Amino acid sequence: MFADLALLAAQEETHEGSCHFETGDCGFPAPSADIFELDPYATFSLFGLEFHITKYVVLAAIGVVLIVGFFFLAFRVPRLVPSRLQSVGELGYLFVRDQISRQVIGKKGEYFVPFLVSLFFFVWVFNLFAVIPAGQFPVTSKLAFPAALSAMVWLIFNYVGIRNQGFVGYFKNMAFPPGVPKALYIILTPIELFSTLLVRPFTLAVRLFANMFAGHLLLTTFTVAAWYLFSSNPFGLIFSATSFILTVVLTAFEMFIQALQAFIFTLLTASYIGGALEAEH
Amino acid sequence: MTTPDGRPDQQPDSSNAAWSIVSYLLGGMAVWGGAGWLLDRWTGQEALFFPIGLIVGIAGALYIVYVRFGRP
Repeated sequence: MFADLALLAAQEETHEGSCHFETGDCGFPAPSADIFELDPYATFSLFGLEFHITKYVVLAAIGVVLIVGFFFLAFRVPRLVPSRLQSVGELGYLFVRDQISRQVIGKKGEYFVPFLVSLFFFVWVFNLFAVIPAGQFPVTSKLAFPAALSAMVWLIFNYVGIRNQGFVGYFKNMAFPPGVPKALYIILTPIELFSTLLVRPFTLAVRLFANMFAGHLLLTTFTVAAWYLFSSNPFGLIFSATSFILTVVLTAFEMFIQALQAFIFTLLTASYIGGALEAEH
Repeated sequence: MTTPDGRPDQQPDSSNAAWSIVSYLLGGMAVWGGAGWLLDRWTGQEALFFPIGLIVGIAGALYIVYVRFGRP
């Protein structure tokens, strides 16, 4: 009987996921990519496509309502001497217009400032949901969201390029950089076309996704560690407190990264649009 | 922020140079590494044209970076 118990205990320790939190002497339940898989609240079918309403969709909808509501309320009755809400709204809008659009595109970019403002605030608020208590998932850690935004940006900068430089002209300027010996074009042109048309949107989406995914995984790891170490043994209390302090520090760092990633996404979008507006020299 | 005639202070080149370099390197390796890999499959070799393609891709990408960003 004792041999059976020993065998059972050995099996339980090696089998993934069968440890119990109460005993506290199993391995550390390290968070993996599984924590991003959520059950949908509701499922419905439309036109043969299945829609899952998960927490991400709900958080995205809340983000949309927040942003649209804020800007609507801020600029509903614009005055020359702004009210407090309007000042904050102006701060946000002017930040994107001056630091991103005018720096990178110049005057011709005024047309795109509303798009860039929307992009910046949407990405930032979606990122912020990682550290807001009820949400706790960065919406942009689901690849679909950055991929959709990146697809939009790709369509826009290609359309702008084609409209400004003509269809043939745009691709010729992209594929044939000037000042290169003609024979080298055979090697260089496929690289240029591939990297501008395919690699750019891919890196734009994956950069945002990977940063948010990794940040959330990091925060989850330290939070679980703080909890797990707390239930183990007296020495664990010190480690648990350290882990908790680290979680707080990493949350602050994560908030910085979220704002930075939103800024980089918008900056690169502006840069691609600016590059499409002017012919490469 | 903008010069008097409306052109941007920061030329687009300087702000997207870093990520463009990454893009070109990845693109070069993908295109010519892929071509080398397909050539390997076509000729039945184990791993002959694939590394050659990768190196050609990297060389080409670095040359493009020089042409677009490195020339004064």
